[in-house]
Amino acid sequence: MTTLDAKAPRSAGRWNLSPQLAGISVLVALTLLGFVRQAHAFCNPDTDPPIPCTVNGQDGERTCQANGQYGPCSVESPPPPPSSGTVSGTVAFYQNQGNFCPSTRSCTGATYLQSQYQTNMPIAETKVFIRRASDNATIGQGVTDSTGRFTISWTDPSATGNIVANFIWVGEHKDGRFAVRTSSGGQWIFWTPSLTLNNTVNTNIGTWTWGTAAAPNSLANVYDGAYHMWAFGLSQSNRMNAFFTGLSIYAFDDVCPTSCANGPSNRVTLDTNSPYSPQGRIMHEMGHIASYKGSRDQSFTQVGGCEFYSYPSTSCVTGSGWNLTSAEWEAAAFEEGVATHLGDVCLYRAFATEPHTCLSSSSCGTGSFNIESSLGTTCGTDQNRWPLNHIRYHWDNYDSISDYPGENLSRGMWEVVDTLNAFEPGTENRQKDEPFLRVFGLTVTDDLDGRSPVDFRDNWITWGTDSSTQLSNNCGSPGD
Amino acid sequence: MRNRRSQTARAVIAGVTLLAIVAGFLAVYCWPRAPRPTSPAGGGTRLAAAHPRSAPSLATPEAAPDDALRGAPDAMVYHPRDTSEWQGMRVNMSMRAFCRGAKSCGLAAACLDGQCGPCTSDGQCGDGERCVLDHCVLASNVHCRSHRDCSADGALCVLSGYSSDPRGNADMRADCLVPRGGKGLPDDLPLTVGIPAPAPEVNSGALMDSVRRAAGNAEQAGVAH
Repeated sequence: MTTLDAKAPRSAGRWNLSPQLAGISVLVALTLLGFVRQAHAFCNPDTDPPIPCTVNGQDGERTCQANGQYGPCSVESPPPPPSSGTVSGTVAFYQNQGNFCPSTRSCTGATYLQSQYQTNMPIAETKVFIRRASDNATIGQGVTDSTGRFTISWTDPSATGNIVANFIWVGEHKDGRFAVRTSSGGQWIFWTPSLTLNNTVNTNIGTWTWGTAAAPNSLANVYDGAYHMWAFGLSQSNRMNAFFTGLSIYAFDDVCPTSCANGPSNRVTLDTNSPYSPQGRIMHEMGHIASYKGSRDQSFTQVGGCEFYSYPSTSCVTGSGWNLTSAEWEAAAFEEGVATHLGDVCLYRAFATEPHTCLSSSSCGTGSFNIESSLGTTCGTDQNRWPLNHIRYHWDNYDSISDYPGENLSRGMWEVVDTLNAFEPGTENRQKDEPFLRVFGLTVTDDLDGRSPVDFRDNWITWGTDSSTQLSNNCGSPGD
Repeated sequence: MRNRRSQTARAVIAGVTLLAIVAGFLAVYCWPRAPRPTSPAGGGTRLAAAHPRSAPSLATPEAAPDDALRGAPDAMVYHPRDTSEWQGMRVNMSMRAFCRGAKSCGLAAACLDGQCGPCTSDGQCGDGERCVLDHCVLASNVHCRSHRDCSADGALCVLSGYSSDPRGNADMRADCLVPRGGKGLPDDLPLTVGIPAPAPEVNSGALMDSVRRAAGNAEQAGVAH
């Protein structure tokens, strides 16, 4: 075997290498080549899978690139968070409703003043939303406060930066007490033009106003009338807090030419002439709903038949209606008096000195009609059937001003609905459906003077309060 | 025994071996390397952040035009609730905002699969909140969850209403309410002061026309003066 002998002189021109040594050298070279491949990541991008690696303690991988080498260690990054933020602002409307207390009279105790009329007033306590402009998807929801201000948080999972959106409100009270709907019960949408909302921060969109002096917005005015009725009137009653909810206000439909309320359907339908006469329209109709909700089991058979409004006829006289000084059968006069009174309460506090009630798109004329006035115990023919005098009876139970001897009641407005609740179920005297009779499952009119102020007074006596003085000083009632 | 390999073969083998060794040395130590990116502290490479553009200046607030009103016959669907419970503030299921995180919803709603909606358990609400009548209420403000928690006499467990904070529940309470009696308005109830609205624009041409017509009408001469 020939070996390299370091000591043996080498023959010139000759260098001998043993096969074993050659094999080892080749093996070493091939091994080094393998490490080369590893160190410089020679690879095939089409076939070689990623190689696991670690950077700063985080697991990642190296992927074979197009140049045949593995790239750097790449750690998978979490996706960026979706766009979000808050948006704030104020919403208002041009106030064009009548029934304000005019500056020419004492407005002590009034809750709606001439100084507010035909100004921009807040759209108070309503639900508000943010909608993505591209597809109207809802991305934020909230409410306004009593000054019309709001701050809403929003999230758009489809975006990672600023977004374009619309602000909307839908005519619904923030707590669902009522909602202004279309004439077919659909949802109104009041919207702004598209706005850019900034990601991660608050965007103040300023104040947006619906309606102008030249073109008031009728629906916004209706919403405000309903809001005023709830916030300044009905909300004082625990019974109303418990049961007055989800009212639909259909605007506008002349199916009822002077508006109407349907208790079983929990619906008010407003006529096209109604939006700027709140006391005689939206507030009055909500008063009917409150009467319905106040009654035992939150229901009674509403007096709506034509015959009740046809006094002195006992049958329907086509075209019959009523007004504050028309003589009516007591079942109608009493119910219309209750509904009107509950609306009056939201416009005038108990200490008001010149409270008025009327149907008007401006202010009530002085004396037409002052509900603090009382005609006394001696009245003209059939004045004891006037809804106005029944309204004055309820007012004298509520107000804190005494204007005749013995007028010493000053009760919360809730005592009206609580006393209505005191009427037992049934069709007998003092009961909630006294005007009617049920025969073999049919309901027929039986006592046109049933459910009168006398019945109210007597049920209230049962609960400990005698309002006989107030009733007699407002002409009394022919009911029994 | 003499080695039968030729001198040429030996030379070739030796040359190849030597070449392989040299090549391997060069590849390992001298081959150009791909540049390594600098890894930021705490992680590897990350996607470039989307830098927001400067927000445009806010448009001058203006009234939404009347034609912005739409009567949409949308069907409003409200989440049902046991009829023995208070029926107020039922959740509108047809308008539900997107959300991310337990407390990201307004109207005191729970964030359920990325959408705001009615809660059914405390676990669906945020820390410190409890589920009452489909809403997430601050635990300190919960005094009942059902009419069964209230006394007899027809009392209901009711919610006091949404508050105007982004979550909608900062002031919300769940209390038993006997449906009788009430509470009057505060004596010092403040009334909102209206903001004067801009006067309607005057069409000067139409105004002059009306003045000219009045000047020619004897009955309206007083008006012209």
